[in-house]
Amino acid sequence: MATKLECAINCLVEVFHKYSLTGGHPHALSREQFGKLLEKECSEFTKKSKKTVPEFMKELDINQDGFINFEEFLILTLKMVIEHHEDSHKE
Amino acid sequence: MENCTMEKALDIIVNTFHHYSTRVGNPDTLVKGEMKQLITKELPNFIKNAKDLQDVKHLMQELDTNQNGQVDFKEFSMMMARLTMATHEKMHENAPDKDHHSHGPGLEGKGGSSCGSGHGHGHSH
Repeated sequence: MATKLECAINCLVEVFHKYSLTGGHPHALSREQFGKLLEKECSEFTKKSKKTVPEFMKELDINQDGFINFEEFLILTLKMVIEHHEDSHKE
Repeated sequence: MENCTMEKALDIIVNTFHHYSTRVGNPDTLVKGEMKQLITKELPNFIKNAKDLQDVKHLMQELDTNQNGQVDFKEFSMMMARLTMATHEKMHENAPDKDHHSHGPGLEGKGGSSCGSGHGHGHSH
C-alpha cells in the first residue's frame, strides 16, 4: 500500500497530466494549458508572486521552445514547495 | 490520493518533513537517523524500488549540498523532485499500452498502488 507521501508525489505527476493531456503533445503544456494549471492549482502562489502567465513561462521555459515540459514543471513545484515550507514557519 | 491537488500534495510534503525534522537537534533539518525513519516509514515502496537511493548514508551525502551533515528542507525538496521524475518514468514503464500515452503504477509497484484517485492503473489516451 502506497503511503500518503508516496501518493502526494504521484499526485504531482497527475496534476501535470491533468492539463498536458487535454491536447497537443502529452508531455508539454501550451501557454493556454499552463495558464489553466496556474489558475486552478497555484492561485495563491501566483497571486503572491504578482507574476503574469507569460512571465512564468519565460522563467520556466528553459529550452525556450514555447512549452512547459514535465521537467520544467518540476522547477515550478520546487519553487512552490520551498515557499510553502517558508510560509509554514510564518503561521 | 483522493482529490489530488497541487496544494494538498505540497502540504503533505512539508508536514511529513516537519514530522521527522522536529525530533532531534535542529527542528528544521533532518539528521541521518531522522532521514532513515522518514524513508522507512513514509517511502517504503518508493525507495525500495529506487536502487540508487537505497543507502541512507550515501543519500544524505548526495542531498547535503552545503555539507553540514544535515538535510534542510531545500535539500529535501530535491529528493522529492527526483522521486517525482522516477515515479513518472516508472508509470510509463508499467503502462498497459505503450503505443499511446498511458500510465501504469509508479514507484509503488504493481499491486502496491491504490492512492485512491483511480489514477495509477493506466489512463490511456
